[in-house]
Amino acid sequence: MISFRGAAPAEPNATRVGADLRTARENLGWTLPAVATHLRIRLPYLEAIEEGRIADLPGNAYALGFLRTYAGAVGLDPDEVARRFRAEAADVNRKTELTFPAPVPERGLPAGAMMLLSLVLAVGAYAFWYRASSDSQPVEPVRAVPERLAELAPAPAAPPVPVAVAVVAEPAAPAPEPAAPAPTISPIAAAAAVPQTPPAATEPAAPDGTRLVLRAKADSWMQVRDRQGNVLLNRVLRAGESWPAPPKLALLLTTGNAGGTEIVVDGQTTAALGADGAVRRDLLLDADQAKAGRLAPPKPAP
Amino acid sequence: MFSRLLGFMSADMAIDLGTANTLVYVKGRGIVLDEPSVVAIAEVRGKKQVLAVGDEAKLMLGRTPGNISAIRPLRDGVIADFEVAEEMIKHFIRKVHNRRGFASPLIIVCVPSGSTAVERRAIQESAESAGARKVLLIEEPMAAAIGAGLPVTEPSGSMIVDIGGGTTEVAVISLGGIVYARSVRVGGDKMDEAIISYIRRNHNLLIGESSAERIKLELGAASVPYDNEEGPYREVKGRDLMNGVPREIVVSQRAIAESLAEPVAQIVEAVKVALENTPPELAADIVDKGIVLTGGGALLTRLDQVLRDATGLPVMVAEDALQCVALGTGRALEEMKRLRNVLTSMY
Repeated sequence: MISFRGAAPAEPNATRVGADLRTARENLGWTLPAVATHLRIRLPYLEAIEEGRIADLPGNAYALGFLRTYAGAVGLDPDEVARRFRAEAADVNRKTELTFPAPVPERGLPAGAMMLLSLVLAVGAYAFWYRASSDSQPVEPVRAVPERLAELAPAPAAPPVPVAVAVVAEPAAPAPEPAAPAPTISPIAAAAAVPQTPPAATEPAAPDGTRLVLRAKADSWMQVRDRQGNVLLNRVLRAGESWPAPPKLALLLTTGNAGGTEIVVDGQTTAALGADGAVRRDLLLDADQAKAGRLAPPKPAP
Repeated sequence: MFSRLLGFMSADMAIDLGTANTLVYVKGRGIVLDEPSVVAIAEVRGKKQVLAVGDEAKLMLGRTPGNISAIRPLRDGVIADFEVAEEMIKHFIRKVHNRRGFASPLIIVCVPSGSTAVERRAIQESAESAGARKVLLIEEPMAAAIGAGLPVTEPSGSMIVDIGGGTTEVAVISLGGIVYARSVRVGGDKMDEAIISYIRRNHNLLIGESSAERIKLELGAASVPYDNEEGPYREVKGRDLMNGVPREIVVSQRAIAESLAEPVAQIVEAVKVALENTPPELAADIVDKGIVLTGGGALLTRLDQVLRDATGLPVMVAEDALQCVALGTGRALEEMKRLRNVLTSMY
């Protein structure tokens, strides 16, 4: 039994130093209360030292102080006892932690977070404004169309809009009456007038083979596409400006000001396309048909 | 700018500029120097030159010819001779750095809690003109308490009594600050003087300061031996005042204890006054934990028992009592960020 107790692992508490102190005290024949009175150390602390209960002592510095005082009083070397005490109780070697009481930070977001938040907000606001303003101001000049016509202009990449669909989508346009051509000028009169009209001197030199020229009497937006949807012209022609149509077979004209748009075929102005401000869509630019006055607006339904 | 560059090449120091001994703690190396605060100055053709500092100079104390003077630049814990103190600090800085120039360390110096603003400024300025990049001050009792390992930042009172060469500092510390401090100009020097005057009065023998200090270290006690006996004896040599010849006498511990009664009573009185002025909650803490003694005076035999009997409180002498202030100042240097609350500057 004794050998078993001897082999038991050393306890974390400094029991051996305490036992030595108790032995030294008992050899002197002193009682613990007498020592406590003499040294003015409270009895529970002396008991804790003798039994090695470090946790019951009021802190490392004081525990070592009591121990050294006690050791000196019973005739042991204080430094030697303190050294052995340290060796037995690892906790005592810890330095006293010194943490100064710090004032509690004031309520509210920390300055750093506020700065970050306001930065994010500022960047977000700028990005939003940038996007909004770039949407309202087109970058490509080719898309500069009058506001009232903006809805008529199909996107350049969009497939060609079929005539019927475009007309249906535009309720303000006159009702389609493809079966009622109703020419205002007879073909004969038109044909007779052809030689009487001299070619306009201001006409720009048209490329070879060009018979048909678009001319603007007033500022008018025009768009010319071919059947494949390729846009050849898409801008406002100023008054007096003209645009020779390339001799392609099938070109479609959309004009935002039918009254201000003239079609000149072989130097002869053809019949008016419509009233001022009227919109005409997808007129087939065919020299012969234009000459024959077939591009004139249909009569409104009675 | 340049001084910051030099700061990289310098080891920061904590100095316990004591009346009796100066201890130097170097950051990361611990206490590297412990020498008496004595400077020997030689006057060569009207020019003053430092002859020796520290141990060497102490041997010259009281044994100098006319052209040499061994000076203790500090008295009562504060600078008495500004230029000599500056020379001494300069010497210690050089000694720590092992070279003559290009050292511009940060220095923390401790000052007695009872020192005036003028005295503190003198200490700071002498360290600055000795080549310090920056000088910070720490109150001595706070440094001693930190060095003794007391839990100074806890909301619990700790009482520290630091008995140095020139002053005795009594302070109650709680929450990292000094609640009450009292500094009396009683210390090892006053004890030496008491021994000198006692021997002159009773034996008609004049002894020197060094002899008195040696007797104090060997025989000094705060109270007469318990069994009312004479205690151990030592011989002491000096000059006979009656017929002027050198003479040797033998003194007992009992005699020395009697001679020290007055300075010891002053220390006890200072502790009592401090206890009287302690707020009751902190006084309650001190009843439990007691008073911790540091400084060279704490090693005076039976001083702890005298204080114990006078106050009825547990009194203990700190480990490394002589080095506590330097260790505490050094810890303030090592953990400067955390302990910056206890550091001050006169500017």
